[in-house]
Amino acid sequence: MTTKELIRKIFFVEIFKGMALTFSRLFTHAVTRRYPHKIRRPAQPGFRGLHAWSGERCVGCKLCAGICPSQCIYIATETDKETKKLVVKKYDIEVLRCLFCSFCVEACPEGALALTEHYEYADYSREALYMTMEKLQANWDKYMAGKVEDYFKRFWGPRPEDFSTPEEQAVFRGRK
Amino acid sequence: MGLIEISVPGLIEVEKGTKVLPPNVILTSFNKVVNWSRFSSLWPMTFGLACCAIEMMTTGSSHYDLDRMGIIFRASPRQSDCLIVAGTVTKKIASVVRRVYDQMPEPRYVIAMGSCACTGNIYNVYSVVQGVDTFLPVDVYIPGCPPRPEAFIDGIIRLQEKMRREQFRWSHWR
Repeated sequence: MTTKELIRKIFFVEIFKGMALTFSRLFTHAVTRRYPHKIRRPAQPGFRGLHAWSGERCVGCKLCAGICPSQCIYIATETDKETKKLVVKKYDIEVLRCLFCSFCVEACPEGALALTEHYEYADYSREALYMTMEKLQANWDKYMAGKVEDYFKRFWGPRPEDFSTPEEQAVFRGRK
Repeated sequence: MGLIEISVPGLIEVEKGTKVLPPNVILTSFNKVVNWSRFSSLWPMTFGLACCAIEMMTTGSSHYDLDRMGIIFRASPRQSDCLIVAGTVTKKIASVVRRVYDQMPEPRYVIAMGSCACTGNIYNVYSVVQGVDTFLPVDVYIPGCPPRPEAFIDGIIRLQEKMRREQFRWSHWR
C-alpha cells in the first residue's frame, strides 16, 4: 500500500467527492415534471396517439384494415348504384386493441387516417374507447385542423402530393 | 394541489320562503372526507407483467414522481388499494392476478394499463386473456402501447376523480 492510497483511505476522499456532487445538486432545478398541474408537455411532433379519420378523404379501399397487425379496424362499404363508387358505411377502430404502429397511416393511399398527438384519453369503459365513424371524424376536426398537410409531408414522406403511387413503384395497376 | 374541492352545502328552497338543509348533509360531508383520504393516498400493488411495467417504473421514478400524488408502491396486496395490471395477461398469470386482487382489502380499484391488459392487443391467441375485464372489475382503461407516463398519470387522475364521486362506500348499511 502506497502512501497515497493510505491517505485516501484514512481521509475518506471518495466519500467527500461523492458528497460534493450531492451538494452541488442542491442548487440545481428539480428534474420532476409536475405533470397535471404545472407543465403539460405536449408530445413531440409525430407522436402516435389517438386516431383520426376523415370521411371526405376515405375511399373505402380497406388497405388499413388489411395491414393492421391487431385487426382492430372494422370497415363496411357499399357500392353506390349511380356513381359506382364505394360508400363507407361503417368505419370503426377499437383503440384499446391498437398497438400504434401506424401501418394503417402508411398504407392509406388517400391520407385519410392519422395518428394525432393527443394521448390523454383514458376512460372508464371499453365502449368509450371504441371509436366509431363520428368520433374519428370529430378527432380529425379537432386535432388535425390546420396540420394535415404538414403531418403527411413531415412524417410520411417521401410521398407524392396527391398520395398517388409513384411510377417506378411495383404495384398492381390492373390488367392491360 | 387543487384536487380538493369542498363546497359548503347550500340551503334548498322547499316552498316559497322556506329553506331547509339538504338531506344527508352530515353523511355527504363524511363521504367527502373518506373519499379525500382514499384518493390522496392511493397505494398501488407492485405488480408488473410486461413492457408496460417499464413505463410504470418510469412514472414512479423522479422525472414523473408518483410520490408527490401520494402514490406509493406497496409490496403486499394486503396493504394496497389499487391493482395496476400493466402488460400482457396470459392465462397462466391470470389466476395469480385474480388471487392478488382477492387478497386486497376493500375498497380496491383496478387500472388496466396498456392495450394488452385492456383487450389483449395483437395477441388474439390461445394463451392470452382478451382483456382483464373478463375476470376483474376494471375501473380505468388506459390505452397506449405502452402509454406514455403522462397518459398513465392521466389515467390515475381519472381514477381519483372516480373515487371522489363515490357515495357511501364506507358503509355496509347503505
